Amino acid sequence: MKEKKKSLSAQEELKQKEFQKEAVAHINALYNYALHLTMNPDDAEDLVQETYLKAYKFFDSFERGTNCKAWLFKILKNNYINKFRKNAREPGKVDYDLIKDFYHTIKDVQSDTTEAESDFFHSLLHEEVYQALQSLPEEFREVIQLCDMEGFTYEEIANMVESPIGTVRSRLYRGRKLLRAQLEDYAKKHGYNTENGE
Amino acid sequence: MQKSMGITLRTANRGRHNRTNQFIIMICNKAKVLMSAAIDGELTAKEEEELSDHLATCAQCRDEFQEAKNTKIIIQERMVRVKAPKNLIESIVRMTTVIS
Repeated sequence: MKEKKKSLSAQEELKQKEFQKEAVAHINALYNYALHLTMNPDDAEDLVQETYLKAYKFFDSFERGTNCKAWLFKILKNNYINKFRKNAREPGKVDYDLIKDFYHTIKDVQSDTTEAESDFFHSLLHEEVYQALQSLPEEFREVIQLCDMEGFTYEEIANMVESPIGTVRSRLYRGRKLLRAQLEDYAKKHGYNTENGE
Repeated sequence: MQKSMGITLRTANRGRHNRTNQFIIMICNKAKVLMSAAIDGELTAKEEEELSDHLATCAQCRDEFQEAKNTKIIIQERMVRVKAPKNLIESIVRMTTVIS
């Protein structure tokens, strides 16, 4: 009986090590995603914490060799839907004041971190990019974020948003079309209209 | 060949060859949808070939392809990324240690 207990504990220790290596590595990406979903740093922290708690509990069901980050994002998204979505604004409705407030909130969050100051101030110059993305209907913004900022494949995104790959592809196309129209002046102003970008 | 002929006809015969124009518009529209997936490396080999053939003959779509690439670059380079607060990281590491 004693021996069995000892082997279970070693197994748990192994699980812990693996979890911290595989899953905790994605905490910044998860926190950013949570911030964009909730638009509130406290809610984002809660959401990330709950996600990790659930992920750890069900870590045995994580298929080794697949993308752990995608698995965590899926858990976070499900948590978000269960916890916050009922009270969220309707997709497509844009509250610009909320966006502005949120932008200033995350600037404060960022200034508390050890992020290099030059990067921080550099990012402040591009609030209009942030606002352009935030102004998109949620279904478009989400896939653009997951694809362009997080680098997920269409298959991974389709699994996260529970839609067919064709829908993901179409949302990306339509979302980018809207975004491009909004960022036309920005692209010209910052030299993105050349062959090689900036 | 049919495609490139169609592209040439587009401006020259606007309004007179409705069927041809519709065919070309369809090709351009399809190409635009493919562009978005091409930027992400998500096209099948057949689609890639199809898009590449079209871009070789359509300057307007080539420009649009470049613009689409730039939009992705802007999002990748300019979106604000923040680091998770230290206390959150610590609490998660602690949590996975405590619950065992």
